[in-house]
Amino acid sequence: MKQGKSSRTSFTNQSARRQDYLPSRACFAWCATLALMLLIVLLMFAAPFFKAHNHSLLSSIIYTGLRPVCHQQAARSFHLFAYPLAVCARCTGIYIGVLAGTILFPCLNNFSLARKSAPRRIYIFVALAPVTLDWLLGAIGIWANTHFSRFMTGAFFGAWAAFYIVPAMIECVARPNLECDDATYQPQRFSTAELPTAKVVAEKI
Amino acid sequence: MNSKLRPALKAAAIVIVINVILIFVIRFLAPAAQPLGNLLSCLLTIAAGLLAVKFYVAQSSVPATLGDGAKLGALAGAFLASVSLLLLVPLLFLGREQLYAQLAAQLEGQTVSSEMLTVSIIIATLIALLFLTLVSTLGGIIGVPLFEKRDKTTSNPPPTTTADNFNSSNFPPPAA
Repeated sequence: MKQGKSSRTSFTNQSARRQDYLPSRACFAWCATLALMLLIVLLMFAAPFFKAHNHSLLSSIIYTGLRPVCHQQAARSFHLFAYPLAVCARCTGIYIGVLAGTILFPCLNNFSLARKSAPRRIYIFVALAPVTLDWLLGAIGIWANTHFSRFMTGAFFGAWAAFYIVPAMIECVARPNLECDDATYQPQRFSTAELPTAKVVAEKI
Repeated sequence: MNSKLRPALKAAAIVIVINVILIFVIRFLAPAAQPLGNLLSCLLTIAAGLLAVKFYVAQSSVPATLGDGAKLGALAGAFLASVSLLLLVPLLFLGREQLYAQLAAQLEGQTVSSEMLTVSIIIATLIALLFLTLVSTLGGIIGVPLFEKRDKTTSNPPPTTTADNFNSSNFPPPAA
């Protein structure tokens, strides 16, 4: 057993090591996020599909279910089979953007999910700027936004958001990779024999 | 988890109060602004996650991570969804006839039994609650880079493993 390192050093090592995750767990987290986003996007498109195919009950369940998270104005939504999607064009962009960002995440992260990385704070404002400007300019009447502009700005924000969502999900689901790839790192082990017994502790007190 | 419960509860409580005021204002003073109300409700749900992270960062000695943000957002969203459900159930029972009439109008003449309508309302409510939780989780995740300004690499988190807790170097050397 190595005793050279203090407990403080071991904490720092562990803190640094928490950046790495077991690839299988990280992959599971990524797949779960992808499946969830795919389900949401399918749900969004399923509402008009069901309505057009005489499954009005199913479509009304989806429309009602998504009502608390979107205004669902037909004039501001894409249409499929002559019926509006379950969410507006901007929200459609956001959800599709998150889905695209989730798919792209490993590709833009050196085909690795094991290392947690998230963009810096400044990029939040960069990603929010187009969607805010698009809404604000439309609201004050300077520029009339279109379905395309709403969708694209929403998709940009959604794709950016995925680069925070995926690492967050990986951190929640995956365990730190304790199988060390760093040659200098020595995992600290202990045996109960080395611990002071109750008798020894009592004698010291 | 307890350290996360309090900020999440606090954030959810604030958002619920604002949301209830908003619902009453829109329902009784400006019914035409219902779509705006839905949008504000969505933004407030995101705000629940953001506020939970804000409160957590203020009280926590260790820097919050994205995973913490997701958990805080999910907790705040779950509280929000639970309270919404508790408020919604009496409203559903009180305005049941009106709700059935609305749904029947949406079904465009398709005949559906009242049991099926009840099941539909329950499923729709569950989908809504799930989405509220998801949106609040997104708010929590965004909140971490917004509010957490401390450097994560320099901090020393508390020991998490038994080996750390019982490291023999933590004990004083035996007396000579």
